[in-house]
Amino acid sequence: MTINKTKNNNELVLALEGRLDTTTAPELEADLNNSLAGVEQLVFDFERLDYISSAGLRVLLGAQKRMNQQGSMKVIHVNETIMEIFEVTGFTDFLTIE
Amino acid sequence: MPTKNVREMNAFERNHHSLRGKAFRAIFLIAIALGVCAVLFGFFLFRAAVSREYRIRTYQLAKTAALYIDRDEVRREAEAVVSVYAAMTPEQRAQNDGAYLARFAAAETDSMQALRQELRTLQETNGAIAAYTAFLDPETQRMVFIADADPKSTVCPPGHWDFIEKPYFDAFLNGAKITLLDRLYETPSMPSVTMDMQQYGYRCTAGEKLTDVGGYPVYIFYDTDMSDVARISNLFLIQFIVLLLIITALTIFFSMLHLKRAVVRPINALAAAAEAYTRDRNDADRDSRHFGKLNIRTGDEIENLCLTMQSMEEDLGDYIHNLTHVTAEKERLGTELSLATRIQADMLPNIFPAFPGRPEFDVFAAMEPAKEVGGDFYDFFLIDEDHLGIVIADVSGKGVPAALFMMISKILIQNNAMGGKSPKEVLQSVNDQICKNNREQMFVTVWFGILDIVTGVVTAANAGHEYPFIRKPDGSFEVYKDKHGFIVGGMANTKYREYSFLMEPGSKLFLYTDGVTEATDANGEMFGSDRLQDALNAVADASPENVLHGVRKAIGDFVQDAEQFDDLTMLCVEYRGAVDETGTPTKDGSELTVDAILDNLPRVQAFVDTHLTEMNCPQKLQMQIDVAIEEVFVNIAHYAYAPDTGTATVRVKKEETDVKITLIDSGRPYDPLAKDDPDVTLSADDREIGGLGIFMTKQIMDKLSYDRSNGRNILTMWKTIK
Repeated sequence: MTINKTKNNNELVLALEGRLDTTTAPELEADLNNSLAGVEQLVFDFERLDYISSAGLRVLLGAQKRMNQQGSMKVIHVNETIMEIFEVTGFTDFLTIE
Repeated sequence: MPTKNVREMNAFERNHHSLRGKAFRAIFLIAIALGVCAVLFGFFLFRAAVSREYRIRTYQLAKTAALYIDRDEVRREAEAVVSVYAAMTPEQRAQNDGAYLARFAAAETDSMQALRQELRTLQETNGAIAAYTAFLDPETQRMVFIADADPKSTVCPPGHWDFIEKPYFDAFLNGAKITLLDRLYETPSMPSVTMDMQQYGYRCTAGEKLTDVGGYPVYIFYDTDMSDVARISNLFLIQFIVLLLIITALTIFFSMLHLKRAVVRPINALAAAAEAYTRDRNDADRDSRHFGKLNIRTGDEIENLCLTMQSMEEDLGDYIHNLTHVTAEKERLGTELSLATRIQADMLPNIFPAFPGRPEFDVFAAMEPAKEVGGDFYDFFLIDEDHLGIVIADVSGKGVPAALFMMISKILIQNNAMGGKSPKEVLQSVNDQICKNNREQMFVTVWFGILDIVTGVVTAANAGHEYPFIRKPDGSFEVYKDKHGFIVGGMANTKYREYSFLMEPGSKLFLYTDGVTEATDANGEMFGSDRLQDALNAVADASPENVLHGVRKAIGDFVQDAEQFDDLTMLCVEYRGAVDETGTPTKDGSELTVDAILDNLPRVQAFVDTHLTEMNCPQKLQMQIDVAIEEVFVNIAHYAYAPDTGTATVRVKKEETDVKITLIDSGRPYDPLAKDDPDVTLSADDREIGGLGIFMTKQIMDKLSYDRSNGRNILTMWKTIK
């Protein structure tokens, strides 16, 4: 999995590419822990993300909880397969998906 | 033409074929011919000249005698004889015998005796052998005697006649015919001839007419002896022949001497030089001169020939000198090239069986370069315990450049593969490395695959190479039309696509280069993909080694003796799956057992995915099933054996429209289905981190069941894939 980060003042855009699974999720988690300080707007660009498992969902949930404290978070360009995962797990209810 | 080479002849044959022998025979024949002509001509001329001299002399004697003789006396005696002769009948005259002669007895008088005496005196004075008077009877060509100087008077008594041949008779009457010689010496016609009469011998007779009596002309005749002439002319003939023989011998001797000096010796010297030249041709002393040493100064074509040979020798010497250099250089290159061939052959794994300790698969490969060194190569190597890298490639071009490029490509592919990259990553990386420094614009087509020895899954990428052939267990070889990427070395940053397929135990994979399909027979027809498929299926059940032998034989039968211009490279892998000591497969291809650790997750997913692809499962469903597999496998990896480790087994099976996936572990008992589902309606802040995995699995799959038996947790999941 590749993470492309773009930071614009207090807005952070993370474009993910590849698979967000048990193996790669800890990488994203560590990355977020290091870079979320002072961020008010967090954007996940899933345009090139192929796959997500519960490990990835956990990281997203963690990120949402933190951003609820310090600003807002949204997920953009979600493909059909991943959207189905979000739906069955009720993540559509609290994630801002554009 | 002689049928033998001159060196094979004996001395006699050589002489027979020599210039001297030929010249000798020619000169000898000419000398003999000339000699015979000269002898004949000389003899004729001699005889003719002598006879002419005699005729003139005898005639002069006759004329002189005519001056001195008493003509009246002659006339008187003539009348006496003629009167008797004329009185006879022609029949009586013709007798010329004793009775006939007796009639002339009256003419035998003293005066006749006196005439005879006179004639005898003239004869003795002039050295003639006969002197006589006679008249000629033109009607009967008879010379009728009147008086003969012969004292015996019995040989030619009065009235005796001799018949004279016509030319001689005419000569006495009108002068002899002018001969060629007479014309030459302007001798006038005269009544003088040479005759060889039986009764008188060879003599010259000349007559001078004295008078006419009774119509018959009366002559005085002189005879001179010519018997010496025959003797002298024979002597002349012998001397002439002896002289001719001496001259001929001298001519031949000096001609031979000259021929030897001017022709034979120089030519023999040239021949000897040529022979020595041929003999020394292969000797170390290549600068030795043979023609150069000759000094032939004949001033003719032979000298020219010698000069030409000398310059030819010099030119050839230079040429051979250069040729030796070039040949030595070629030999050196040839040696290096054969070394290169060996090094190249040794670069490729060529000891079979290649992996005697691994019964799960068998591999065989062969490369047959068209030139000494080829551009094709194959390769296979264990990346780790469970993965076999397989390469087949074809470098553009041929010969040494292709071989060098092939070595680089081979090393780069293996190095990148050993680093744990996937096939497409390997090709991308190799392509970028080659493109960095590829001024010669060389490229290579590569098929690179990695066989998971445990699962039978092959993951592969194809950079412009031929389609592989795959044979399912008990099936036939079919071409597998994979998606080609661009050639390696063509363009930097080329992306390659990856695909995977499953090799159930008993499957075979056949890879080859275009030298196989483009092998051409004498008519220019190519072997082609269809013939290759037929050849493969003829040996479909054979071991990889025999599959290659079968295909090679089919190609050989097809091309016959036509020369091949491309390398022939083939590789065949048979996947047998796990087998026991006897080589019997221990399970079919639908089961995978791995260590239950997170690192093995991609293998488990690839295994399941490959089966799903075989079942024509849509890509989206595969992705969802992947998630379910991950959730269950991660649970096992994390909790089943903690803190120890154990194994997990995955089975995939198709049941009508469903796929049935079973995950088994021997860890602590755990029924994931017994756990309550998390409340997915809660807000983010109220949610627990975790606990979602099994819930997602339940949501994705159509049905799940858990069983605990024989100390194993067995979780079975079903999903409709149509």
